[in-house]
Amino acid sequence: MYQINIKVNADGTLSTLDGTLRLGTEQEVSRTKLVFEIDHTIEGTIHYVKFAHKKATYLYRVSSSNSLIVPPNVCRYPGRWFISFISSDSTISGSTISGNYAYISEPYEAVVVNGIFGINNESEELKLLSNLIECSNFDLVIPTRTRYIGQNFMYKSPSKFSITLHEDLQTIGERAFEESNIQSIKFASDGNLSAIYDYAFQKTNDWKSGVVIPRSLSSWGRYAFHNSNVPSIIFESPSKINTFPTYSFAYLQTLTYLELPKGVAGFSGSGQTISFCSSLKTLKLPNTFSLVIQAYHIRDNEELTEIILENGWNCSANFSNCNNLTSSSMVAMFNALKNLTGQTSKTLTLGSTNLSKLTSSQIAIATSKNWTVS
Amino acid sequence: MSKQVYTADEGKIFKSKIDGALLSNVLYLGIEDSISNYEQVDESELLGNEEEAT
Repeated sequence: MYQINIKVNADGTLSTLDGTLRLGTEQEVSRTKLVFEIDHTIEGTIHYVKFAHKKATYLYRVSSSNSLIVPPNVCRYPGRWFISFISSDSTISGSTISGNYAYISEPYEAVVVNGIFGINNESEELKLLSNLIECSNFDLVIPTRTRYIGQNFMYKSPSKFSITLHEDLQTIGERAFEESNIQSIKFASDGNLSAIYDYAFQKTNDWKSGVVIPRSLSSWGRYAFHNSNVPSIIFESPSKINTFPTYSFAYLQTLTYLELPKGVAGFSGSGQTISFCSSLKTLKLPNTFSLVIQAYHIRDNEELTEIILENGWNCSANFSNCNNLTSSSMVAMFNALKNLTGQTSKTLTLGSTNLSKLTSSQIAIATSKNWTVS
Repeated sequence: MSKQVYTADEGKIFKSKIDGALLSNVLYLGIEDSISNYEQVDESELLGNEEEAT
């Protein structure tokens, strides 16, 4: 067995004739023994060596002969390690030292060298098998009776895939598909999916088709498709979703069309909800809105030229951060407003830039129905 | 017929006393609406609360 002698110095340092300690090669077992020569002024009779690597840390007790065979666990992780010698008057549990004395040396750099033992050239058959096992370019079908897709289910999956969900599925967990290469998703019609949690599809940038969200959904997570390239999102109507939280549709930079479902009452947060969708051209809103839309809810969507309000619209709304609305779009909005004659007035705010595109007679379409335009 | 167009003071916008809607600095009142349904507030109220994605 190869032996490395290490002096444990009273000043807290370790020294050896080698520079960097070469503990072994990846996957080696019991090839190297560390032998410690401990300065006589160092107290404590119970000795340990702590091994620290970016992927793992281990604490091993040194034998009574002041030696330690480099454990296989250490050789499992090639790369840079740090070792530290510990002497104490009591045993150590985890990272806790309970005794009255502890010497802990300064970390000393060590290395486990990359090996080639685990590398084998693959046959074509093995490559094909590997593709099957690793699921490259595959269609993933979530089986019936599966009720939950857990957190991080396909997080950062490098393979391209499409997914089909069955009607028993109830929830899609937080970050379930974040940074994966999902290309399309098909929800079960008339299924039981009730919640898509925060960040579920965040940073997915390989979408080949838009998404149709089933009517069964009642909870929509924040940042659900944040920073993804999904081209369209359409919600089936009527939906069980009551409100959309802050950042429901943020930074969807290739989204061109967004349709919110009938049944939704509005935006629940006090921050941006539909924002930084730089390609969004058309936004369709149902007449079930009852919560006031404030200016900050819909902002920084530079290409947004058309907001379609469903006929009978009856909720105050501020679209003044949508400066590129066309006059025809705004006239269509006025025509869609519910006639509030004899009722309390509501407000439709378009902002000065948009108002400058309209004539007095066009604005009068709204004001004559007892809507105040701003 | 009463005045139907109003402009807020510099740095101010209108806010509905009825439903809290924040408006712009110009009002074209609905045919049965009244300026008494509105107050002027600082336009900084147009800013919402911000947070960061992780």
